[in-house]
Amino acid sequence: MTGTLRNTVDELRTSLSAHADALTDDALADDAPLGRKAALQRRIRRARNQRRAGIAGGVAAVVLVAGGVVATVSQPSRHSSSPEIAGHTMERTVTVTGFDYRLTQTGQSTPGQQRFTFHLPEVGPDRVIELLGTGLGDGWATLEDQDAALARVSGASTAGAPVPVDSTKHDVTVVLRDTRRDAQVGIAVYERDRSLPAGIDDGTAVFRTSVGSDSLLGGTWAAPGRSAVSFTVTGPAERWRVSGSCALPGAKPSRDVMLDEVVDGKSFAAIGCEPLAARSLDPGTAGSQPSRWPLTTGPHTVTVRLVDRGGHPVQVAGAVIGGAIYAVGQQRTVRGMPVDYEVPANGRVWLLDQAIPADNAEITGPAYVEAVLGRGDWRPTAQHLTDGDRDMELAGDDNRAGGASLAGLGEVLAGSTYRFWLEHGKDPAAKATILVYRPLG
Amino acid sequence: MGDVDFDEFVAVRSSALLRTAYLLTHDHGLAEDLLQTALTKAWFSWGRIGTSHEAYVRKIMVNTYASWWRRKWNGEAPSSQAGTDELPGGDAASDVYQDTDLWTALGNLPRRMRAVVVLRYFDDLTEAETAALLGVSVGTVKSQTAKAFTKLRLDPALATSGEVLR
Repeated sequence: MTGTLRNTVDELRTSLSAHADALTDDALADDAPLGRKAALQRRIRRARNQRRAGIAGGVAAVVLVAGGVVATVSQPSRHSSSPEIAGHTMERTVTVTGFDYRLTQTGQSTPGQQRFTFHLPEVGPDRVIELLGTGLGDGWATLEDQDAALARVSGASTAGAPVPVDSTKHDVTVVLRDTRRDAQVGIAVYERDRSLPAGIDDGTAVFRTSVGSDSLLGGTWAAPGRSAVSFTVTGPAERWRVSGSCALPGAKPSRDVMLDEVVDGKSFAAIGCEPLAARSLDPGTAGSQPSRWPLTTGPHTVTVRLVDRGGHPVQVAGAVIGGAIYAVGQQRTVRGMPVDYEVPANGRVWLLDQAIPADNAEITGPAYVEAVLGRGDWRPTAQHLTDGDRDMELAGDDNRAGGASLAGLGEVLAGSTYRFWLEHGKDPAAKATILVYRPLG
Repeated sequence: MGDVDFDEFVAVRSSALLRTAYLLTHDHGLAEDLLQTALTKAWFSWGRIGTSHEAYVRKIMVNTYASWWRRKWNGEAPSSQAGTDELPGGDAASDVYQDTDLWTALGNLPRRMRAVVVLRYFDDLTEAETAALLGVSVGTVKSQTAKAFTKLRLDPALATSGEVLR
């Protein structure tokens, strides 16, 4: 185990630094930024001209946005009744993947606006946004964030599910299409509050009772400042995984200390430690790869402990550590690979609905799409078949690890239809399978 | 143009960002193209960027990289670097090539997975910072990290060299 720990993060950091330094030694000459500056000026000039051409083509749409394009965002009063937005009475709290979020801001358009922008401030906690609409008729409204479509409402479904939006200061845009002239849309912004869902918690973070279809078998948190803690679990469980949580004082992740996860005296996995200020409050969402052997009835002793890179136990003042074991939930085998039946993504829970050949799959939303790939170099493509959408930009996946590999392709919003296909770089006869998940509820 | 002048930022910080771009692309030419693409995008919103211009540019850079698909190299290089797209030789390079197998294995990782590894273990971002930058959950960062280690461990480049990763 000692050698394993040393070789994991150490080798990575050394390799990355060495290659970056080698580039610095020679390729980054002192005058490189000057040459870069000249190249940038040419690029910016070219991009500015392209944008001007784009704006000219879009004049007709802009004219419709009379009275300014920025909708107001307001703070809901703590004392008033639940606020109404675009014809909807809003809940003051919503629950997303087990955590409660509190309504902090609302905003709505002027009836008839076709496109407008909401300014979002920088916030500390996680943030989700719900999109709402009224008077949409046969049309729809789409919430866009930095060129990505996040949520959509239509005449048939005028309230969307809350979707995560990053916490930085930035703008989001709502675009209306083919709606009635009196259509109005709004957004409700929620920030995560301090309450914790059911599970094993230390007052700040929690190993939730269930994560997707995985069930908590047992876990614990060490007393503040302790560097090791053990707990007991009983089986049976056909497949299981370990989740750990390790936070240390300091501003950066520790390079010297790791959390060793030991099951019945054998090291099962090791994870890095985060700064306390940035610790995950939901550590059960991550964890080791599922075990390859079943957990017998038991009991089984699980220990999480701080170790140095050599695998030797260490004490760290102010450390906060914990660990848990989850029984892996329902899975289905596709091309020899176990895939989750239930996956959390984009603030929702999705259930596996179809596994279809990946040579020409036409998928209508709402859907979350993944693919099981065989060995080799794969090129995924998603082409929109509905007006107003854009082709998705998908990254290739070069699966050289042997065995099947899982690749996320993305979400198809309600009202959109995309054709997906995957091409193998070398073998036209190679097969892949697309997994289509549908939203729960 | 905000509190930080764009030209000054390019002069002072672009070399550091180029290193990240190089670790993502494994190709000096593509790295320069990626960096300049990100800087060009950032220029248009420079005055509206909040607290950290570098974090903003890095975010654009990583997400642009993740969305590229075998983009043919057609960008412009700084005049002083035109025609150079190989790693330098010499003593420093010989040290680098000692871990060429791991470097090769890193290059075999899917893009988002490689981005997670570079951000976590080169840029020293926390899991939360990495998640925010990539626009994914902390859980996704953790699972991508775990999968990256699994893939590295099984990569033929490492299997033949005797290195052990998990």
